[in-house]
Amino acid sequence: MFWRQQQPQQTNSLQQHAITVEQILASIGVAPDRARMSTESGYGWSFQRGSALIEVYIAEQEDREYLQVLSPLMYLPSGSLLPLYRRLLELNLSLTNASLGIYLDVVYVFNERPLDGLDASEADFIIKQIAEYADDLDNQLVNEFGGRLYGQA
Amino acid sequence: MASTNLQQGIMAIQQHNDMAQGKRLIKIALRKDQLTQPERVSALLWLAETDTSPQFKVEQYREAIRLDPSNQDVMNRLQYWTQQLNASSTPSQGMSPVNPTQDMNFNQQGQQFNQQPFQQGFTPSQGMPPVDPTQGLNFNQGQQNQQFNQQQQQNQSFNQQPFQQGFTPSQGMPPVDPNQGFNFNQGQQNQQFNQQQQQNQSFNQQPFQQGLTPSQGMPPADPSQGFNFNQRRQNQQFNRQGQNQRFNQQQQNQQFGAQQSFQQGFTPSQGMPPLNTGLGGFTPSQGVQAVSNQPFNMPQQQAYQQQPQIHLSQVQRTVGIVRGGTRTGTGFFVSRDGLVATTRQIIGGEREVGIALLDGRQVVGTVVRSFPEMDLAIIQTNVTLDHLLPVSQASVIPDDMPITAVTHAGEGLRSTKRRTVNELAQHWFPTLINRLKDAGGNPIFDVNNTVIGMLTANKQRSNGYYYGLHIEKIYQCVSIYVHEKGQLQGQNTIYCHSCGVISRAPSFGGFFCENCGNTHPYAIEMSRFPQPNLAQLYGEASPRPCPNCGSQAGFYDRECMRCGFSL
Repeated sequence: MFWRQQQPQQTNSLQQHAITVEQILASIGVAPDRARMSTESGYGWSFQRGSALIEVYIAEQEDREYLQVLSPLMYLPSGSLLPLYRRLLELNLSLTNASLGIYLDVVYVFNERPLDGLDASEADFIIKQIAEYADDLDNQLVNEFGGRLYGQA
Repeated sequence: MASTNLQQGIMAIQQHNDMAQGKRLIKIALRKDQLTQPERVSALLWLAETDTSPQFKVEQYREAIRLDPSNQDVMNRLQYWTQQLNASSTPSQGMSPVNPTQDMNFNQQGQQFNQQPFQQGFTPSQGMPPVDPTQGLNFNQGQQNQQFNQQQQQNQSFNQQPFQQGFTPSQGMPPVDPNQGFNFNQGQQNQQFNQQQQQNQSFNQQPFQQGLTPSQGMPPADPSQGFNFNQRRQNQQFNRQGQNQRFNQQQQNQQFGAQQSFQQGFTPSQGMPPLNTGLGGFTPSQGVQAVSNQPFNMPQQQAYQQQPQIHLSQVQRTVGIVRGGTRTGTGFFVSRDGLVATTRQIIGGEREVGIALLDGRQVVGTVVRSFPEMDLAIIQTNVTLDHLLPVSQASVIPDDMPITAVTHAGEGLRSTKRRTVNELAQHWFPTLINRLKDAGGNPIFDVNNTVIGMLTANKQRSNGYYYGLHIEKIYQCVSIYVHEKGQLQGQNTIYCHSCGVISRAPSFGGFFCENCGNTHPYAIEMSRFPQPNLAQLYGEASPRPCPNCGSQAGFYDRECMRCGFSL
């Protein structure tokens, strides 16, 4: 999603990791075939976890494969951007193992880690954690600063 | 949802004086389980205001006291209205009818100074205004007066000063979390305890009459009466403290919004109407509801003003800056009416610090402005001086000039102005001082014993030598502050401890500093919500869209707030 540079081709190693990730998703109750997304590079899955929309990506960056779990929270509001930015930075400091960021006018909470050594329990933990943060933060931010929840008309 | 109902109900009462609607909404809120106990207490207090029947009020207060038995304010209200109720059934035992004129007289005799701002602008028919349930506004102090001796009352009143910062419906809704205002001031209260005790002693010597009656709690019918009266009473108070007229004016001019704000815990959009929307070049034309003719912004005493004024006839070379009970740095007076300059690094995000004088006395100073880019903080104290340190008129400090930085502990750091090939902003000058005796803020003297600057804790990273801030820049910054203070006179402002500016957000009900986006202390615990009507305050109603993204979200430092495009 936020990869620093796009990789033109997927490596065999990445395919192996994609299989692993799908196994992990299956083990945590997500149907991989229904969750798959098409991405320009790497692999992506999207599914609902509680009220949060979770997106999982894997891709290769500088010869290393990464897992990225993120959840879009809200579209930027039309006003109060300075206080919102400040709040996001303040929240960033308080989040564990997750960060807040903005990409194309959407506020995300995300986690990124190398794929090496990732197992199902850790993936589950990351996904749960991101989903919890998303659940906590999306309404809180929209209520305070306005804007629109992601995926909401 | 329940909180929203509660807020809407309070808004209906406050802004539209629609008691029926307010009552309905608050009742809806009370039926829901989501309300926290403090919110429920607040709701009951407001609900009591929606009905003139003492019976109804008593029922609400009883319910509130059941939820929060330790709430002295509710207790007082209950006591008051129970007596009213009894009085209505047995007239001979009742209290005298509320007469605005009588109120004024009673209030003049009273000593509950801190209730001044809260007694303004309500309608007598509304009865006693809800206040922060934790803060214990003693509307029934008059009754207590009949029971206690005068000195006891004075002490009570003064000891309660920081806690008595309630509010009235015209000023703001009670906090959803009644602990808000209290928490903000707890530290301050502790710090001021000794000074307050001193005050109590001095006030106890003042022979002013006691004898408040419960009707004191009732506001004057005409808000303007309340204003004049309170002003006069305020002056009386200050005269008693031996303060001169100039300081009375100063007090009015200060950023009283600060304390008022976080001691009250109101919702800004409801409780902090602009007093003078034309000042400062900003008119919130987009919907902030102004409450005209309401003396909402009656200044409250800052910590430094709660102390007896000190006059120093001799030159005060330095002052000590005390934070957390330990001396951390040095500062020096830059104006005869008590402004102290020190480094921002010492002050950090504090709003109040201790100022140690050379004679050993310690006073409370209120940080009124800081300039992080200059590492300069300006502190207001309740000290007046006959003489300031002589200041060098030289705008340039020659290389190798001998200099001496003086700490408040009396140590001198002899050094010279360091030569440098680096280009520095003119207000910085390098020294050969590489070890500080304290946290900085020391006045730096030249050989003529005139001040040329202030030693800061900023140093050259490569060699560890510290920089001084030129005295000319310090006085420029002081002038900026004085100018701003004059410009913002009458507005409800607050010192932003994050970026150091005087924020006007409280005047318009804003939650955030318009300069840095920091959440103001009074708004931290409250339910904040989008305020599109304040776009102009936050520089977001840009008539010129961003050439890159077309957004009208405004620019910060000439960069689009949305896409970062640099103009």
